[in-house]
Amino acid sequence: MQKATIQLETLTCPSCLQKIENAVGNLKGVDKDSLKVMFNASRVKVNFDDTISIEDIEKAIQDLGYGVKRSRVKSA
Amino acid sequence: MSEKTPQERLEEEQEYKDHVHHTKINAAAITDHLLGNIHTLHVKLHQYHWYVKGPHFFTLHEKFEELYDDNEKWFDRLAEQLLASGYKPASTTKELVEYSMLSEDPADKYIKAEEMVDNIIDDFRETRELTIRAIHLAQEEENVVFEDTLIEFKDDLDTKIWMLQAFLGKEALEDDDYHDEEED
Repeated sequence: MQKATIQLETLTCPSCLQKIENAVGNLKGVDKDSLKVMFNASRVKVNFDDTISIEDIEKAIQDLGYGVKRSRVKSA
Repeated sequence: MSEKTPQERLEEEQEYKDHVHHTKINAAAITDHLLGNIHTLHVKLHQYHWYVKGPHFFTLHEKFEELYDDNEKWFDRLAEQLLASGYKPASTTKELVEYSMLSEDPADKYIKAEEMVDNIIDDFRETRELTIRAIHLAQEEENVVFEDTLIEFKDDLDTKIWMLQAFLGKEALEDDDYHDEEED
């Protein structure tokens, strides 16, 4: 299991947060219970297993139209 | 020129709100989400008030009632402040449910008392996160009275979170993802 912290471009509206939460939460390999999108910090925290990569998670966010600044991955 | 119908006026208002949400959000638009959260909490706190079980029944049954009473006061106070600021707060169940960021679950009636308290802490924290943004925006908009009310609301949430955490034997900021400063 790996633990990612993804820094996004500033989230302006709370509805964006819900869209990201739904998109990332529904990815296979993502631990839904660990998922947290922090509105004021514009940051996503999530744990995931080796059936998915950090690039896949970033892509899911970018596909919604939100910019990803950088990600940090640690083993959890 | 004929007067606009209520439906036309509503469409104008919705167009304005959509525009604000997708361009430059303001304190009032965030507060619609606060009202949504408060609305969900109103129902959820009643659910917990009714279904809580175990040795803490008498304490929590009473505490949840106190919490929904306070919650109700904020619902009216924040909405009235919006009106005074010239904004039109959400005023139907459907709108409030759409704006709410919180979830509820009929299965919660069967969960442990401590889990109920933990869920309410999470909901208060999520509401506080939005409140912080609203405070900053009200500050930028120089709406000082609204800023002051929002600060008071945050103060109230801070106190409630601290006390509920203490009930669970935890520190005020323990397990709070929003206060995790390890990054950057």
